Amino acid sequence: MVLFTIAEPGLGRARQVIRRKRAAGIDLGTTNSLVAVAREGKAEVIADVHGQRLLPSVVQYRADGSHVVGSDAMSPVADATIITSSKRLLGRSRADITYQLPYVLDASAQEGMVRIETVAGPVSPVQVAADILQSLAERAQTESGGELDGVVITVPAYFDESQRQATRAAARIAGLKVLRLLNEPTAAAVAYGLDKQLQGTIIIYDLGGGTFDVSLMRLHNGVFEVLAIGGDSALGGDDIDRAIAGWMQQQAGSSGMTIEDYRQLLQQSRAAKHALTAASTTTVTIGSWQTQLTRDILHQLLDGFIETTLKACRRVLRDAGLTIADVTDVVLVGGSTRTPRVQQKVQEFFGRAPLCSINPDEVVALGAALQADVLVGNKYGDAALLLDVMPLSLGIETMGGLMEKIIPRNSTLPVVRAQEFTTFKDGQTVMTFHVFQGERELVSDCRSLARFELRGIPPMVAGAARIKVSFQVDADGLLEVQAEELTSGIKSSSVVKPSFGLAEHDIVDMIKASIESAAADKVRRTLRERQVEARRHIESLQAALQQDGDNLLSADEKHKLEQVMQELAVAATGEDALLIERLTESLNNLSRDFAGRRMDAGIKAALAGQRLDSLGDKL
Amino acid sequence: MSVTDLFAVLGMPAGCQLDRVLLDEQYHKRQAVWHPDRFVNASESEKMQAMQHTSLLNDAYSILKHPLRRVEHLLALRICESGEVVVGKLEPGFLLQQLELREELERLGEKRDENAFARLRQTVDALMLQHWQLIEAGIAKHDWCNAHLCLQKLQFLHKLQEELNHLEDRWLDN
Repeated sequence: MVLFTIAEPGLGRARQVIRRKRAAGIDLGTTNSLVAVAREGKAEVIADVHGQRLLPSVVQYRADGSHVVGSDAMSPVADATIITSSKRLLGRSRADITYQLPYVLDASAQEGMVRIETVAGPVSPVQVAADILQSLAERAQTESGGELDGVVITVPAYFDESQRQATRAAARIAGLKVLRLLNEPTAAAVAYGLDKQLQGTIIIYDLGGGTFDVSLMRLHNGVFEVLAIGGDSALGGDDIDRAIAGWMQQQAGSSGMTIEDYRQLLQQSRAAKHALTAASTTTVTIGSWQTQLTRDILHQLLDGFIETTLKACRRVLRDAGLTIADVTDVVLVGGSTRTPRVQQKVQEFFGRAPLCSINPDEVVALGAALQADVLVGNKYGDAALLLDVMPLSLGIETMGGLMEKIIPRNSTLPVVRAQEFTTFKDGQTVMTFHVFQGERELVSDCRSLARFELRGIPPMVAGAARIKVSFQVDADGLLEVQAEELTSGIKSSSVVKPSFGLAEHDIVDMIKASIESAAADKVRRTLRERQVEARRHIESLQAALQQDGDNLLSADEKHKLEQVMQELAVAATGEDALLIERLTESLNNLSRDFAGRRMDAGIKAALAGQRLDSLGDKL
Repeated sequence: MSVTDLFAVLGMPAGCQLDRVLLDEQYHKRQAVWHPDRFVNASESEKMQAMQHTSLLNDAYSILKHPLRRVEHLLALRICESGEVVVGKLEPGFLLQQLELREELERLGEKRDENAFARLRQTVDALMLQHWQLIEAGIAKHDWCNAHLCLQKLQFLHKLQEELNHLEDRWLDN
């Protein structure tokens, strides 16, 4: 299909035949995952061939190297390892895993990195996530009749840097273009805001299989503004299942279970929990031992968890300087909010019946699909505006192991902040920066994200050097840190990579492995990516030129741009990936100035007609 | 060193007081144009500039909506424009009063007393209001030295107020 054709330069308006772009919203959950697609402002969850909308987040790795995803992966067969709830291991270190798992972590793995032992060899949680993502993407592709142009993947709002990076890495391995990582509660708010026209000050209470998030948001005239978020990235239905399993083991006096026995016990615990939604008592068994699990006992097991979630609710209100009386609605998200006890406690706490008119299992994927449709470029104009925040503070270690916060939690994204530091020894030429995330005073209580050095500082007396450390967090919540010595201009920077996840070469290896069966595939993929990128670039530059080319560029400048654009357009129809890359790069360089001028003009236009119209000159 | 006029960034009239509804409106209007979500398919350089501009908008918004940080910014801006060098030293009487208030807070931290807490809060609130008015008057009269001195005091009082909130939170949590 012809995406568009390029007219001769100077012939004016290019004829463009643009197809509707394919985008999907993916809710990568701990227990279940979903994919949804939006059409004309209505989102729909895509079912598999059997009509199943939820894809259990379960992958079975087999000795022959194959793997199965979803319901089919749940029934045990010989020579296979079943992996469940692996989202909780994403971007985590072994030290974070303090509870019993129904599989074994690879002990030989490098320090810090979590890998799961399977009959097919050690598997990273990132790989498991990638396999689930790929399975979901296939559903969406079948449904929308072709390769996806982009996806929005949701993450718990309380996910930290390493967990977000790990999610991005998984998408890369699955070959997906991520338009945006969207916080789950924000996605849910988009679904309620656009579909149910919900407005006001809203609490999104999101209790999933493995994570708890609470977001306080203001929804007003198409603006979705997150005021504060809180939560626990390791609290969810899984913990309830484990508590039930623990209670049963204790009652039965059983110990020394095999991994497979424990996996089945967890499955039984979950079934019992679900049964108690309707019934007041249910029978549970371990071997020949059996007893009754009543609702009362379940409530005792639940109440501690629920109290923790309500504490987090109290904190977000306090962070935003609001009280319960300011909250106009409470929205329930996540399968675990089906538990009647959770609903009851939430209702008591907020003094109002919570909303759950959109299926709490599906609401996040639906919101993600709506936003994906906008971001991929299918809908502009009165599109919703999402203003999200940073879940946890970011900072660096200073003398004495203290955490110096540079970006406080709940800062609206994107955010750029800088702070000056200095040397503490005479003649010091190297300074090490250790980046942390967390709320505590001591770095030993926060999560280490990255470490990098600034070398070549000119020798000076202690305290004379002026070192500016800048933190930049983009709209996905991903961090880049830069250090610069101001008197000499020496720079050093670091994009935060998951310390407890995977190194870049691991990810590249996995990408290779995932397409090694057809090496040519990779070349084709790269070529196609570059072609698409070049075309997209030309497309947006053309539109910009049409709008502002004559006002903001001299005839000469415009001619030059059009010439390179034309060369790139020709190259993009060919097979030379390197040439396309080179020309894209030069076009990028050439158009940078033009982009700057357009921004300035845009700011002026946005301010025109307001009281401070003289302001334009200053900017 | 120059100071970026954050009032101008958000198209707001500069002043100690500010119309919060207008501020929200101005901020959202600009975000709707420059948010990175509007530039997903743009060139790298446009993306970068959108990100930098929205970061500035976010910064300006968070500073202007916070009364103390707003006044800090306003005063820095005015002093910068005036080109004056402003020096000022807190008088011992004020520091002594601060010490006493802090000792009272510490006592309350050790022994919960809601009535004494309410009295302390009232004292701090009254002092804050008083210094607010002094700053406003100072700025109106272009008396940067006095305004700056009062701001320093206000910063002290603000910290104290935060610690009061902290203590109250601790009581609420238990």
